[in-house]
Amino acid sequence: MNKYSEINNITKFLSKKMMFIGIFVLSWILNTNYALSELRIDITSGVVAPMPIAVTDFFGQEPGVTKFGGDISKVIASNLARSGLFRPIDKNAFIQSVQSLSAPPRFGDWRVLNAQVLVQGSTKLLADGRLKVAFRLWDVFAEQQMIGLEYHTIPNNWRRVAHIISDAIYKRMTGEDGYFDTRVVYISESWLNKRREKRLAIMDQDGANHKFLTDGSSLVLTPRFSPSQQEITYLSYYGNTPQVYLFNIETGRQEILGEFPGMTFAPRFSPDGLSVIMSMAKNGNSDIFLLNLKTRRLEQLTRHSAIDTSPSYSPDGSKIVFNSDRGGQQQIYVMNSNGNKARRISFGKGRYATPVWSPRGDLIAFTKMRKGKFYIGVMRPDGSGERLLAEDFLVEAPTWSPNGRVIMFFRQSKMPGNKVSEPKIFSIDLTGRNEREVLTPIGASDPAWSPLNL
Amino acid sequence: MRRPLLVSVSLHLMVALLGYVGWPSFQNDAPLTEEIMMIDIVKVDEVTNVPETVPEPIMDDKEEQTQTPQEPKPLKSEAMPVAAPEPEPIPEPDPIPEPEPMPKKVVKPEPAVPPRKLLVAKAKIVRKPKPPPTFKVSALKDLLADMKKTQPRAAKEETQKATFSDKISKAISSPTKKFNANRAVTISEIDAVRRQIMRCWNVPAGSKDAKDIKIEIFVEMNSDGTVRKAKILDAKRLLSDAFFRTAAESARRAVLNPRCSPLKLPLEKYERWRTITLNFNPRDMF
Repeated sequence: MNKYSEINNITKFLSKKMMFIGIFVLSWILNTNYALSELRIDITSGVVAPMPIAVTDFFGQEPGVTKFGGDISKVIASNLARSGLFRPIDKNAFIQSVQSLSAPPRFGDWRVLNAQVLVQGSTKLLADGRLKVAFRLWDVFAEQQMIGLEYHTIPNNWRRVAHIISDAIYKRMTGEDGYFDTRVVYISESWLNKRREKRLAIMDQDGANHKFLTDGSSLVLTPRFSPSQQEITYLSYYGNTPQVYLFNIETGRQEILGEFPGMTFAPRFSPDGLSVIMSMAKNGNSDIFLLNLKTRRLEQLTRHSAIDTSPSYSPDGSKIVFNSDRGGQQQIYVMNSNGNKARRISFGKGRYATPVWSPRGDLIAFTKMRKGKFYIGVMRPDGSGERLLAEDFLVEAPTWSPNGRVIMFFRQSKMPGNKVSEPKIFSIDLTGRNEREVLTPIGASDPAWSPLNL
Repeated sequence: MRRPLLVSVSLHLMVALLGYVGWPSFQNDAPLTEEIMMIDIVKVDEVTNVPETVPEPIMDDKEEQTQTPQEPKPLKSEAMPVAAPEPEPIPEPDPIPEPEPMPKKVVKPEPAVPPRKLLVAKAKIVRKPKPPPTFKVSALKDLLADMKKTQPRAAKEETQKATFSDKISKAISSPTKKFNANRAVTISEIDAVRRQIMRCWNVPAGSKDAKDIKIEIFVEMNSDGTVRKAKILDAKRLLSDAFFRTAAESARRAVLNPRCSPLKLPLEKYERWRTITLNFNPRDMF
């Protein structure tokens, strides 16, 4: 009996205590609720539209440098516009004069134009003949300077400075490296005496400073930039055997990578630039090989009766993506850089080819063929998240901008009368919304984007 | 022996019951709140009587249509023999400091408290016009006359009735619903502001992991609905994380964008939105 009453007492005591605790907890919850009643608003979406930016002519006092100021601002504005992320505002709408911008700008004058950011700069000829170019980037709404830099260079180099400034602005605004101070090599194509002439050509990413690198006496294909040097590797037919060559842009020197037993093709540099990975065909079968550029030692990475080709390194060099028909159909595979553990990553309908690993590492670009059409697309390295960005009768040879946000490729469309258009190079960003033609003098295919600041 | 068993069994039953009734509600918590918000957007409108949100002219599209894409000009090609390009000296960038701070301009004088009160008073008058005086006076006088006939009473009582009629007329003329400044900002009002800011936010969409962006902006408001100050919380990360800085600055520009000013908030409830914390996360876009 005693025990029961004891238990009873305990339960009574507990229930009382529980009630207190309950009240305490309840009041605490109410209290925090009250404290949290400060207005909080969740903004869960926004707009994806080019940001309005005002790029003023860079101000220069001497008559000789005024032209540079205008030209530099023009190159910057067109770079930023082409990226699809910015919308330069028409200069005619500007209220504040360029001269008066040397002091902090009158932000109100730019706010009414809805300019979110303002680029302002100056040019000056120094006593030693060099050109001084300075610029500032202003956040118009927050009324703050975002970045300010100055450069000294020979006057003829103004275009390069404009690209470097564009990159600085791009980096400050997006948090990622730009890609304006880069070049593109490609294959220039034309008909010459009923023969298709293909020449290696190079230009700035905006099409300026165009130059032919080879004379067209032999066929050239698939140029690729070295990640670390002024070098290009490509495929050329000297005589009748296609072989992989190396071309030095600075010296113009060409060299064959080696005399191999079979034909070599689809070369690409390793991320450190010290070796070249490529395909070699022997006895009707092609496998992937690695060539050390210093020792010229050749190492076989895949041994399969199927055709393995188009290898491309991941940016950290640990993996290789390539193209194989070992499953009966052309598909994309990823393996370790020593050739082990190859596994298929593309499982969509159609055939997949020319995979290229993004310099950012997060995506792999590819060409896809399905029902008589070609597509350029991207997928994650595990094969998920496939997205198609461009399609046509023929779209081929994707190449990444060094920051991994833009892809260049070439396109041929069907014309009336069963004809096919001249190949043209296009660029498209990862959103798929901003496609632009890269203007070249004549037909152009097989673009390859250089790394930044080469 | 039976009693403790009973106590034990009943306690166990209670715990089981609590578990059965209480547990599922924990799991259904998230989807439920979302649904409630959806319903509120429709229902609350009538009650709060927020000024109608007039759709602003779609400026963006027009501007974008008229804008011609700037493309590089076609090149005049010159076939050049393979030649070594001239070595280009690489310009060295030098950071230039920010210019001397300009004299601080007073952009918007902060309105003192009196003007706000005036605004509130105005709003009241405009909203609830007094009913015409003829209506209540005549009706009540007739009523009083009738009452006089049926119940002849002393003059003393008549004065009482007069005060009574005054009270009634007062009651009728006064606004039926008194404004309560302490009432919370409603979901429909919040939703109006949310939509307004969404249209001004240029999301850095192409960047890596853009959908995981989370930014808090602390906003101090003026009583006319304009933004006085917008501060990025987590300022430490601004220096260390370039992606965060980009996103945070884009969010701050959205708040400071003149196109989104003033925010469509109920001016009477200023006390409730004197400060606002805006959480930016573009999760609905991906």
